[in-house]
Amino acid sequence: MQRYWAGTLNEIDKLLAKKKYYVFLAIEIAICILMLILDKLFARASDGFITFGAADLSLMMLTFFIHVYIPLIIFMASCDAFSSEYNDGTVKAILIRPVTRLKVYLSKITSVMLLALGYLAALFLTTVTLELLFGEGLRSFWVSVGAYILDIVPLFVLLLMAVLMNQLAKSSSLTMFLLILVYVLLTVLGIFIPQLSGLLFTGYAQWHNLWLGQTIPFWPMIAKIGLLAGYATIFMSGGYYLFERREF
Amino acid sequence: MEKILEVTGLTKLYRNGRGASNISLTLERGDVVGLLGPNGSGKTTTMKAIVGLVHADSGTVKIFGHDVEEDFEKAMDRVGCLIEAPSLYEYMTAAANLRLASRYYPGVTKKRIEDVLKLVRLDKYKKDRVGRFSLGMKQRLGLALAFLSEPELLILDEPANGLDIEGIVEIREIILRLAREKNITFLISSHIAAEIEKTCNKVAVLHEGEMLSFDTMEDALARYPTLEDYYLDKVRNKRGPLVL
Repeated sequence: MQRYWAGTLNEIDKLLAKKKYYVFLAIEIAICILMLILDKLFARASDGFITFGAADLSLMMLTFFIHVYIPLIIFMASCDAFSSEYNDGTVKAILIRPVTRLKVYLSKITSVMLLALGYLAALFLTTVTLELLFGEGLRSFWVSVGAYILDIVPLFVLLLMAVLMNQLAKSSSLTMFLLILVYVLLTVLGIFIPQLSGLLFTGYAQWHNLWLGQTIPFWPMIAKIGLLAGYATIFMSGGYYLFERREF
Repeated sequence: MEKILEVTGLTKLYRNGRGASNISLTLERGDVVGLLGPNGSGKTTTMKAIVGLVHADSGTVKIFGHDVEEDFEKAMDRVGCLIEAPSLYEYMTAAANLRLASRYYPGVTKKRIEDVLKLVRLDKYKKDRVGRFSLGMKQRLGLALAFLSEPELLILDEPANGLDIEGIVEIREIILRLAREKNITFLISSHIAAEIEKTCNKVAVLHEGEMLSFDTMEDALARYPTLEDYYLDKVRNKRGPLVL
């Protein structure tokens, strides 16, 4: 385990050595502030008639960030952790150390997931702070907490898919392009063919909607959990198989 | 003598037919073994298969008695290596590159990082980003990364690559000193016979993926005036005399 954690720490260090992740974090916070300002301006101009729903800013922003922004961060970070290192040969710096490929693979996944969680935590803290300072207080604090925690599940499945794709494409830019393309296609497919939505893992991005604010039908929920677990297993085992067989 | 590395019938052929075929060699503690051969002779492929960067088609590799395919961590625990170009994170400093590697070895301290930087004369540049380094400096840092964990077996692929004359001599002296004083075992590849002759006590000649010979330097030089003559004789025996 010591070497798994050493690897995870190293991967986090490498990701945080890249300035773009700080810039994207600043943009994330700026979007939240901008949204609040726009909401206030529109509400004032229309005597409260037009509002973006910023009273529940944390939940409103979660919808946008969980569908668009954080998936992009996950795609970018997975490319940095895998395909970029294949391209420039730096992955060899790890593979010649006394650590198994399974631990290398898991430590890279863990680090990207922790980065995504960092973005999610920053989003939560920013929106909750803004709600406290400029909103109507924390009306749905615990619902927000639950939603943020629950939405980690589909993000993890998405990350495993991104890591699998990284084992297939040859360059990091091509991988990034393919990831965006596949993600958009699956999302659009889920919108235009509602019957498919329940079968695609991208249809569960707002996982919290299935759990919060309603009585949970037991068997359908078990089926949905099983579906996501199935996707996660396929992505994880397929990705690891390709990583293990890869030659450098 | 304790067997440090045992390679038996190692074969790794790529789709283009190149690679290494049926390589067998044994390194005992304190040996400095040179793999001598031209580009494309299978030196790097052999080294990559030894450290698990490529999977062998057949044959076995045991390091300190542990099979590389089956017990990778134990096999590689006391191994340092530099294969092909040094694998460096160019957006990080020299010290940061060493710090990342050090985390895999609980015994490696900050002082050890300072020591290896001094050993390869990069201590003045430890806070500089590697992306700004010259080829020679990168090679020195690659060697520092190989030396970092105080390994008992060092596998160095063309260690003099990119170094100036002074640098080549320094690296040779470091290798000889570590072998003599700390009884460290080395497997070194080079296409320069004179370099192998000055550094190693055993030599294996590789040509077109095959190992043509494996002798002690003493035996090789007892029969031929230089290692270059020894090498040329082995190669000519295999492919026949050169026709002009």
